[in-house]
Amino acid sequence: MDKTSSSLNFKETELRLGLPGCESPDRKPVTSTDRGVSFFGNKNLNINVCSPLNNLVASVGAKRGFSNAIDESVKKLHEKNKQVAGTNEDANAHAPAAKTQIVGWPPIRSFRKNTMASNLTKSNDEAEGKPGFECLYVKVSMDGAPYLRKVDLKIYNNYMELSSALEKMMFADSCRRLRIMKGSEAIGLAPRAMEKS
Amino acid sequence: MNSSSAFPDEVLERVLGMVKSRKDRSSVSLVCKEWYNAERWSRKHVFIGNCYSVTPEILTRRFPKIRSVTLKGKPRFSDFNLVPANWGADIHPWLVVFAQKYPFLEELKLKRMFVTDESLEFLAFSFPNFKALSLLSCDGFSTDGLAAIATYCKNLTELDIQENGIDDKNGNWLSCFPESFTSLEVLNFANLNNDVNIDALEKLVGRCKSLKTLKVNKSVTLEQLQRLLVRAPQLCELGTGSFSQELTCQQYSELKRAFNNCKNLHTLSGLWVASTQYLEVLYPACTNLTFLNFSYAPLDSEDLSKLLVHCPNLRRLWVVDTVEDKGLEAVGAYCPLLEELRVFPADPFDEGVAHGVTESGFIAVSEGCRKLHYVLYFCRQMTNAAVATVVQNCPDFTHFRLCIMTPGQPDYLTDEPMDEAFGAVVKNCTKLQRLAVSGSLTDLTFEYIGRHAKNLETLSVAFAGSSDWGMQCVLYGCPKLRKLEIRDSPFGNAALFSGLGKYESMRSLWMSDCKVTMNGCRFVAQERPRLNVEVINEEGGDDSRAEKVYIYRSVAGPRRDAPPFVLTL
Repeated sequence: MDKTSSSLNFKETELRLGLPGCESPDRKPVTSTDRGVSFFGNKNLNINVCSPLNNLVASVGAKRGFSNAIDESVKKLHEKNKQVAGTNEDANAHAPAAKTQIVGWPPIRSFRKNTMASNLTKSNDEAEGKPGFECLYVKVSMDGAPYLRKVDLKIYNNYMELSSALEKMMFADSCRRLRIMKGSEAIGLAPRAMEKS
Repeated sequence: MNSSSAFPDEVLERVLGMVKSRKDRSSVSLVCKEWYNAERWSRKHVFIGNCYSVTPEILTRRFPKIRSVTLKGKPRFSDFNLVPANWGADIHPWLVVFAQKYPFLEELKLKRMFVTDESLEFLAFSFPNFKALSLLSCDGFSTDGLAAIATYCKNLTELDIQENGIDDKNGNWLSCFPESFTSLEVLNFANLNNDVNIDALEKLVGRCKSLKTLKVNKSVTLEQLQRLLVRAPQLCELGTGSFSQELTCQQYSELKRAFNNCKNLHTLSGLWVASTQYLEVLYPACTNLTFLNFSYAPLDSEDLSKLLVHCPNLRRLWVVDTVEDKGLEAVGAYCPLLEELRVFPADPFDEGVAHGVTESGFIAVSEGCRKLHYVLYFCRQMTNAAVATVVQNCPDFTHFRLCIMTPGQPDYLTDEPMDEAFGAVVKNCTKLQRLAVSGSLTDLTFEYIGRHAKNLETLSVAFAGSSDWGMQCVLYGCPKLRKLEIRDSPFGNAALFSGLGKYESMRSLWMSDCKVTMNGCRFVAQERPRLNVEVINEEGGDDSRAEKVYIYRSVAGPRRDAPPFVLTL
């Protein structure tokens, strides 16, 4: 499976976080049927902008739940070994490869995982603990913000860390609240497709 | 004794009506026909541990006078995303029957059920006497459903919304309680995120004079909390909002005074993000505290220690592992009456940093808290010797749930499996009812369990065991086993078949990512028609492998609402 970093088209892979009702002119609109941009291997990860001012919805097209998809994706990023078909073989081996994340483990309710992740005040500065990996840079732009930010996805262990880091980087002044949630939790909050409200 | 000399039915019913314990009631119903009938007519509360074990029709036929129902739905591993969405456990068909047969229903406690807004509305409209709703680990509903409850349940005394997969749209539901509404005794919305109208909340708290439990969410500031406390000094259970606002001196002393006036507090929770300097305001309220739930408040060891000095009567403590071993030493030092400890991981996926608690914190607690009988402990390292010490200090464990967070991790000092640790647990703790094992474990662990854990009712296994023999030991050796849940362990058909004589006496068996095959499951289904044998195979692939197996006893027959990915064999 080839690393996505080398084949990234930055325009294509921009993670756009925009205010409601605005559409970036040089981007094709992302609908729920689109595959969207995939940062993580072959999993489908659509980042959409939705209408409510205070909420950003990240909807995941993967068959499994959000955290499952991300677990799998992070595993692909961190794993040195050959791609395995699923987490099960890892698990049955009893001593899984270093730093893999397994579906549903440790046994903590999603609610608690999400809440604790957003409560963490200390930022994770473990970049130095991961030698030998290539960087996976993406550019993040926010509509209305003057600057793009370059972010190394590999220094974040999970989606929650990424979202907090982005939050700190960009939204302190202009956005009251940023919330990233899995698709199933976003039901009723906003249309998945980017539509004018 | 013939029936003419027995008590008249009314007297018998009256007497048996005083029997509260579930087990006692079951026993009572088996004595004779008169007692069976008296019991069923006098029963007001029913507990259903697996919603698919019985139908609402069967239930209402046997127990005509129920006022309170507790229902549990999905298998426990659904909490950890191991069960696909839309699996089932829909409350609605139950509500439809209850509306007909239990129009005076007062109380509903649901765990791992699927609940929609429509169902909540239906509930609000169908039961004029409805009093208490408790939802834990449920999903399918939004805050709109809560709005319906608040608007239409005129006699509501309890609204308890715990950790749920709720679509948290906004805080408007709270404003739906009418101004004439005054009956609330329990309000828990700690796990919702959106702001509520603080004015509406103040007024609600002010007019509900019987309010005993108030757990607000993190959007409530310290200043707002003070105004609430002033209106409800009678509170017994308080869940605070965020403890991190900037307060003026005056606000600070007002807050302190407010806590001072809460003389009846026995349970405290919340904090969320707590600033050290404000924790002091809690101290006066701590003397009578028996339960401290800081499981969403990442405190450090110093903050916790300073607080615990004031909590000598603590019985139950839930913390985040940011308190580290030093914090647990304080627990051992200041809380000699402690019975229950739960330590949750702050950052379960961060494996690069050696934070959290270790075996020494565990030992420290056990040395100071000899009455400990319930532990849930998430850690990154453990030793056999430490666990042996802990259970020597505290032989009264009834619930021992140890989660070493890296699967299959051995004793970090000796590099041996953790078999001896759990061996020590089951040998020393003869009252053990619930056990969750972790770390590197061979069949020896399960031999020990089968040989010694004679009171064991619930066992959770993950990434453990060496062969079928392990699971067989448990099935043969644990007479009181009711719930067995296993994931990612090398147990196959031979192990599965060993339980054929046992599954009907159990609530359920869950096995996922083990070595059980479809044919093995079919065999069980064939041999035991009173069991439901359900298989979930999500991804395509190997047809013979049974990815997820859920076997449970039922008088309801096979599910009629199973989604396509659930195969009933």
